[in-house]
Amino acid sequence: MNAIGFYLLWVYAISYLTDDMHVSTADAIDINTLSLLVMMPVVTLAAILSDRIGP
Amino acid sequence: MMMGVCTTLIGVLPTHAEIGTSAALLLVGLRILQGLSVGGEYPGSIVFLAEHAPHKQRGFYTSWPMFGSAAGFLLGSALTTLITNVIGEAAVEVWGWRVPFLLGAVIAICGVYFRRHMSEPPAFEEARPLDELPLFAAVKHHW
Repeated sequence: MNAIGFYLLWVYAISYLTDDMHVSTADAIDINTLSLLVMMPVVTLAAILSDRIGP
Repeated sequence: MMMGVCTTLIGVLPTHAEIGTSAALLLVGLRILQGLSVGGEYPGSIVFLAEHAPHKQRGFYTSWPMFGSAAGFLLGSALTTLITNVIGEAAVEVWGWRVPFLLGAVIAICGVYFRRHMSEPPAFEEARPLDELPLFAAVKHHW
């Protein structure tokens, strides 16, 4: 599940954006980089939240 | 470990001009091995962390492999940008592309070092030692 999401979001997303959505390659890669930067703190915060209210 | 070795080997692959189609086949083969190694290492690292984490912080601990893979992606992009800017695009196409792959050797060495210094999860060390092989015990006592 993680692997499918991963490839969909970070590997296929660039092809999708450039080929089907007609975004320039440079912009697609910028979007990708930004999404990774956002993901890092979000993953950590979500994990902390899951520890608080999950178990 | 396997990841680092494959990455380094990609860095020293001969080109298509030198050995023809075999170069492409070798590259695909090494990429497959890299994929297999991700499949083994990534979930393995999550389980390892989950077993070591204090009960209340299991989610926090196991989020780090995901954080790390994103950071690795960004590090890769940053390194590629740096190399391209320093030596120029033409040089990257000739030999510069090998540099990041060769740095995979550093990862491989780190992998060996970490593996040497890893401990069993606390729960495993508390478990009593086995009196007999589980298979024999199952056959003998649990019909």
